[in-house]
Amino acid sequence: MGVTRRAVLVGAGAALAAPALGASATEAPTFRRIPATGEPVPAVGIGSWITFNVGDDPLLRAECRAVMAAFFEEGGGIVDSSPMYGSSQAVIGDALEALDRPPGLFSADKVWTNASDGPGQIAETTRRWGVESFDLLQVHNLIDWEANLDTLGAMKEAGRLRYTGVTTSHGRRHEELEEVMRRRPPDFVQLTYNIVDREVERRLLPLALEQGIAVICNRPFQRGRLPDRLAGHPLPGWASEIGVSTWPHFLLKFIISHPAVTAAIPATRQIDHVRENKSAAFGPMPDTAMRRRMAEHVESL
Amino acid sequence: MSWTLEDLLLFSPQVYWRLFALENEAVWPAQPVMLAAAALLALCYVRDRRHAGRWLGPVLGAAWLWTGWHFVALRYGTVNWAAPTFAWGFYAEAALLAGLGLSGRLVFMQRGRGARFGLALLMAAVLIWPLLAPLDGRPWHEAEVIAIAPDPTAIATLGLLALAERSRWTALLFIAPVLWLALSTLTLVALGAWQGWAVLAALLVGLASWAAPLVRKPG
Repeated sequence: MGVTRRAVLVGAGAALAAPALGASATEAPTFRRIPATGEPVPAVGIGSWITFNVGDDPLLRAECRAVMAAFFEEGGGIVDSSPMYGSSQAVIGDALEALDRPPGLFSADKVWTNASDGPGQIAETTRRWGVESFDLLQVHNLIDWEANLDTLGAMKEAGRLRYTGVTTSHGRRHEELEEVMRRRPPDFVQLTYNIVDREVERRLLPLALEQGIAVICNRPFQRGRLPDRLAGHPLPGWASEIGVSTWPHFLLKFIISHPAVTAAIPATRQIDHVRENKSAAFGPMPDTAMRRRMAEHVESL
Repeated sequence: MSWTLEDLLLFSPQVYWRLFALENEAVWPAQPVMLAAAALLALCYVRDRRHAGRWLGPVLGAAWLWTGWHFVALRYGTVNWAAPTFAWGFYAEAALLAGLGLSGRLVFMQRGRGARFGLALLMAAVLIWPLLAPLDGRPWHEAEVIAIAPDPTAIATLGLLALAERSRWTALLFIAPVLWLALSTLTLVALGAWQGWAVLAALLVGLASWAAPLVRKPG
């Protein structure tokens, strides 16, 4: 992807562009660097599980196009999908075409089959998106991961792919993911991380930092359950210290301020939500002590 | 973290309900025609119960074939990659219904409590299922109509089977509707839709009506 219009704050060597708690606010969003290359990406991307699976419905496809338009107006970043997500890939392809291939796209998809069928599935995925190649392809849920990583590695070698990755979700198969990260580190891992699902803080996130692996966090809102659960509670007074004005802000800032995290990918089909999500990358970020306070506060509710 | 039913979902409730709106729009005015046909078939059945199976089997089979192909495989298949596989169950049911009906193995002469449950299911499938959308506060054009939407088609089939003479062949006819209604229950419950419990109730009544004549009073 090209650096977007708001990508003005990428300090040399700094993984986190926005200032930590206590520093003054900034007009630029947080970018994180991909460890393998140092390339900056916006810390808030967009997922497509459930939300973009709208089939051929013209009304809902128009909603998806509007959400994608808002996402790119706000700087774009990682757009993530999978062959498992029904029509989501075709819906993304439709939106990209309608938006005339907007700058700022970091295309991320997955291979979700055994290795012998992998190349065919990747070709179909590429056709659905209407792209020439992907920035990132990941092995979905570790399926046939060694052989699929061979395929992705060969594509990268041939210049047909920029980054390789491996994914898990719902906090599963962490031991196996750890083995992949140690034995054969890909450029990216994708895993579930949010303010209540924090098991990855113990081993996987420190290991990602150690191995120089970028981390994409899925289910940042537990598919909407977390904001729903917190909606009845007022934000703590100290939330304003980190520029937080809503619970989704609070939840996203918690995730993207972890030093190992490259991006969170909340999914939505509402324009105001995509703008709200993207705005979480602005302003000061919580430091370690503040992050602990945030997690403890949510636990206490 | 542990799996919940909701985590297996691929689409939102809005997307699911709009499938019916799009299907209804595509086949209009088949809806009033289907409801009128159902009334006419009921009349024919009352007039000649003994031979009704010969034409009810193929007619109901055609409804399974159409619903399986047009709604399940083509429409539902746009948001659920497993749907075209489910459709094979619909085609198998269609072939069985037509084959058993035409060969005279489908005889709707059952009486008693099971048959009364069956009639209740038939009424529910034809008259109540189209009302579920407006009862839910959704527009009429999302209504589920027999022979267009799969749930009322499967429920009506369970109703008719309750009226059928039991045989190992008619037992085979239970497989597809029971599996589909179980799957539909899980899908709707995962979507957080109360209609899931209505589908489950219809499924349980269907199973009970099948079992009722098999339970013999002692002595």
